[in-house]
Parts: sequence; C-alpha cells; structure tokens
Amino acid sequence: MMKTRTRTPSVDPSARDPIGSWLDVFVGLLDLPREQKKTIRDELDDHLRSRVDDLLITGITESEATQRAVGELGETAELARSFRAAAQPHQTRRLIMTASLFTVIGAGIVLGTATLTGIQPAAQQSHPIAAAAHADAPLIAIRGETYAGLFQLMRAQSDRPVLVHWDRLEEIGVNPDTPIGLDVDPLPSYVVHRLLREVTENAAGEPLDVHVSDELIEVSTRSHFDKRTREMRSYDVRELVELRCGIGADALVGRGESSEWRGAAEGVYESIVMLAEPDLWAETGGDLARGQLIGATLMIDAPARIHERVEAALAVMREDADRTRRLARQQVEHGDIERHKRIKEARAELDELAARYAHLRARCDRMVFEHDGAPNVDIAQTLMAELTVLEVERDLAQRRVHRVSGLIVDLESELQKFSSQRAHTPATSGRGASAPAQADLTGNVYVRGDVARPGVYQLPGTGELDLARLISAVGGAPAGSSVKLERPGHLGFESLAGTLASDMPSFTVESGDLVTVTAPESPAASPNPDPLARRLESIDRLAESGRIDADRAATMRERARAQTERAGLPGKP
Amino acid sequence: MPDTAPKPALKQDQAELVVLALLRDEPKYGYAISREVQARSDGAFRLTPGALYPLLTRLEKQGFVLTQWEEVKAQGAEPDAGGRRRKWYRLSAKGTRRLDQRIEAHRTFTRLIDGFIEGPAPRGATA
Repeated sequence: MMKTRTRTPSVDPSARDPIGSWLDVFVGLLDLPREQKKTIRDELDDHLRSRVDDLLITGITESEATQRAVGELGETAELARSFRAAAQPHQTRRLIMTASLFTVIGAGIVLGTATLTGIQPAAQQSHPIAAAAHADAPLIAIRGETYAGLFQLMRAQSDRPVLVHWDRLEEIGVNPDTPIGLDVDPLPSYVVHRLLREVTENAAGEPLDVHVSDELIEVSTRSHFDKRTREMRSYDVRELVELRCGIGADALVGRGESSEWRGAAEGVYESIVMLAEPDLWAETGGDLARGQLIGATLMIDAPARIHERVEAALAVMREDADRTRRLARQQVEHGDIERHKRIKEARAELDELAARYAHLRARCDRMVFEHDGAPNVDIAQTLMAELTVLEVERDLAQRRVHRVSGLIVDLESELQKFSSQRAHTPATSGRGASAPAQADLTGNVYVRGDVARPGVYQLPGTGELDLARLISAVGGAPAGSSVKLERPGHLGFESLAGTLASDMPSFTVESGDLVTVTAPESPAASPNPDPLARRLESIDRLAESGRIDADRAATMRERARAQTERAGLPGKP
Repeated sequence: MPDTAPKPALKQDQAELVVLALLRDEPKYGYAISREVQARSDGAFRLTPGALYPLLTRLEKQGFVLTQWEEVKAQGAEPDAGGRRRKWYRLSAKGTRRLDQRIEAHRTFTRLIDGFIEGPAPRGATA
C-alpha cells in the first residue's frame, strides 16, 4: 500500500546559513519546551555541519553537501515525532511529578489520588468491578519466551481470540522472535500485561499494550490504541468552579462571564491536566490531549485512557469538594450555636440593664420632685449634686441598653442570613441556580436603635405593614427621631430611606429590611451637661406621665430656674 | 555501478546494544557514533540521526549514559568567534551493567538461532 508522506523541507541554498534556516523550521515542528528544543537544535547542528565537512572532502559543492546531509535525516515529521517521543518523561518520573503536584491541590486529593495512582494499573487495582473481573484471570508463567510464544500462551489459556498487531509492534522493535527478557512464575494475566508494558517501555521507549474485552484480546502499541480510542467528551465542572469561587459569592451572578469565574474554571482545568498524565496535553507541549472550557463545561479531546484518568481526577476532586462543603457547613452550624448562646446572654444583660435604667430614671424624677420641695438652698444643692451623679449613671445605663440591643439585632441578623444561605445551598452539589446571597425569605424585619424593644420581628402573614406601624409595634420612637431603612438587594444592602420625613410612614416594610431609629438628642450620643435643662426634662417627663398636673409642673419649672440663679449655677432662662 | 540497495536499519534493541558497545571504550559524540557504526559494519548497518539521537536521549534519561557539552570552533575561525556546541556521551556504571545484560541476551538469542540452524527443525508455530 502506498503511503503519503511529508518530505523533509528542502534546504534553501541561497540562504546565508542554509543549515541554520532548516533547523529553525525543524525545531518549530517539535512542540517541546524551549530548553529541549535548543538542546536538539544544537546537537543536530553539530551533526549536520560535521557531515557536511566530511562530504566536502569527497569533492562535492557545499550546497550539494548540505542538501545531502539534511536529506539523510529522513522525513521531517517522522524525525520530529521520534524526538518528541524520546523527550517525554519516563512513566516513573511522571508519577513522581504528579505526586508532587498533589501537595498543591490539597490533602483530600493527596490521599484519594495516591490510592488511584500509587501502583499501576490504577483503575484495574482499585476498581471493585475490575477486581472482580480479574478474580478468575488465567495464570501465565514466562520462561525464556519470545513475544510470539507468549501470545500463543495467552491464546491457549484464554477462551477468546488474540489479535496481535505485529506491524505496529515492529515499529518499536518487537518481532515475533524477540526474547521478552522476563522470567516470572505463574502470575495473573493482568499482572503479566503490566510487566509487558514496563519491559517494552524500558526497552523500546514505548509500551506495548494489551486490551482485553469480552470478545477479544488485542495487542498493539500504546500509540496505536491512543489513536484509535481518541474521542471528544464533555465534563460538567460547575460545582468545582463554584466551590473555588466561594459558596454564595457574588461571582455566581453572571457566571461564565466574570473574570473570577473564568479564573476558577481555568484553575479546575489546570488541576485536571496535572492529575491526568500532564505531559501529554497540548498545554504542556504534548499532542495527545487537549481541552476547551465552554462556560462550566470542559470539552476534552483525548484517548480513552486519558479520559479514564480525567474521570478519576474529577471523582477525587468532587469528593474533596464535598468534604470541604461539609466542613464549612459544620463550622457555620457551630457558629450558630455560639450566636444563640451570645444572644441569650445579651438578652439577660439587656433585661438587667433595662430594669436598672428604669430604676435610675424613676429615682432621678423623684429627686427632682424632692429637690423642688427642699426646705433650703443647701439641701437643694446636695440633692442637685446627687441628681447629677444619678443622671450620669442613668445615661450610661441607657447607652448600654442601646449597645446590647444593637448586638442582639446584629447576631439575629447573622443567624437569619446564614440560615437563608444554607436553605439555598444544595447539600452536596452546587449545580442549581442560587438565590441572591443576602435575600431574607423568612419574613423578618430587623429593628434597632432608640426604640423601646429592638429586635427581629416577623411580618404579618396576610396584610402589609408600613413603617409607622412597625415603629409603633416596637414601642415607638422619641419625637423627631430619624429612621433609616435598608433593604437587601443583589448588590448588598440598599438604603431606601434617609432621615425620617413626613412621608416616611407610607413606606411598606419588606422581608429582610433593617430599620435603624436614632433619637434626635440621644443620650447615648451626648448627655445634656446643663443641670437646669436636665431638671426641666425630668419635670416634663413627670408631667407627661401624669404624676403632676400642668400647674404643678409650671410652678416646679419656675422654682428650678430661681434656685439655679440663686445658686449661681449655669442655666438658660 | 554504485550500491544503491537500501541498508538495513538496526532494530531498537540492536541499536541500543551497538551504541552502548561503542561508548564502552571512550566518550563519543552523536555524529562520531553514526560514522563509526557505518565504518565498523562496512556500511552494512545504518543508524539514521532520526533513530540515533532519540535513542541517545532515552539512554541519557535512563541513566545509562552521561553527557557533557563542548564548544567546537570551525577551522580557520577567528579566535574570539563563537563556535557550535557538541554533546559528548560516555557510559555510566548503570550503562555498563545494561550493556552486559544486552550482550548476554544477544548471545543467548544467537545461540538459540544457531541451535535451529544446526539442529533438527523445531515443532510448533508462532502466533
């Protein structure tokens, strides 16, 4: 049969350095790392120039000598293929290289893949179905056998025909009468196949492969099987990419387009290449396998044995991803327990502080009343001094109430947020579409700040709730308070309302809203330093609570002002 | 009339044996090995660069040969002119053991073949 072959590129005699020009073309075909290309180029350069020197002695011209020397190299494509095959790392080195790369990928993958690749053939030894299939494998002993003898033995001990591609085997120097150079006691046939691979790879640089199916035992070179079994397969790597992006990360929005997503997907692809015979991929200078990422789908064009490794690598990576996800979930759950505990403690503290604040406030009011009825200036001044101390204590208590209530709201908000995320994160797979990360679908609103009862409130199941009713439901806010309403959106919390305005109450509260109320002159911000003003505030509160009537309140205000003037204390008229 | 008949190419294992044997005595570079194969076989064997250099690469990677680079200058070149690089190969201890194994295997093979030639014809056929 005629074969169509590519001839060596002709040497250009008009070139200034025809050998250099030819070598430039040749190394361009090598598809090897630059350093290896340079080594090959230098060695061939020395060979060609030495050959030309020898040929010149015979009396031919330099141009003719160069043409002949280059022609002796043989077909360029074949030559390049030989150099590429020789430059590929030895199997053992590949395993070591792969093992060292595992440390980069992670401990889970280290353990998983070591099981898969520690001893070859990995799939045959670790796969339970394969192991069962080998349980009744015939035993074969080799004593001074030739290859033909071995294959005849295999045929005799098997109930299937044996097809030997001698034409392929001869390409790697294996002939029917070639001694195997292997003496072994009876061993299961799959072990003999493995030994054959190692022996031929050591001797010829390329392993002989034995493919066993139900119908046939077939023997040929690995490259022959690689060529025949090469096909395109697609792999879904979405969950691995999502894990790299971070569960619930904003990068999930617009997936496939963001650079973060793209980077994560390429990272996954890189890991697969490194775990599945890395030196055979186009990315590393090989020519047996290549891949292309399309969104979250990885298309790989490679021989079947590479696909097996890709599947094994993906299985290990997915297992590791599941483990990571489980660990993250456990940590969140542990965090929930801590948050619940802290909320409980904070609530107890809040109750205590609220009681103390109420007590101090009542004492202050009573003292104002006593001060108002003091029989003389000295007693009034003593009472005033005590009142000042009490009021400071009262203000501090109020400030702590605010702080603790804010803490409770924050903790409950965190709890709700993580609970919502878990509800929308699949237990073992991230393949489903994810809801906006911070959306609260539980029907809760959060109220904090200067209100009587800050906390998390459930929205009514049927009707709508506006802001005014909500404020009222949480015990009301001091007159003139500002109210800020923040609403979770795709881009985080969006502030929908600023300072409280007259139209604020028309706002409808929605699930997940965060309402912050700030009193106009919050004691938490700055306690009033003016004793007279504080007295007047206390009198106002007494009047508002109905404990004194309006006339009595007016009288008390007059007296307070008069006493302050007499005592020379600062105060506004 | 010139001899235009194609020269037999050495098979992989034979080529390895020949190259290791050539390196046993002294270090050599690629072209010298190629030339010596042809010279010592009276032109009967052909070890093309396409077979020789990949084989040397493999032997080096397997630790059977050790290498060293040398700069070679063309005749009549200026003293400060750069030369080309030449790669020298020499046999390692591991390579010497490999050579011994190869020789033994070859002798066994030859002895067996001789047995066929000299003795009665064997029974059985190859697969």
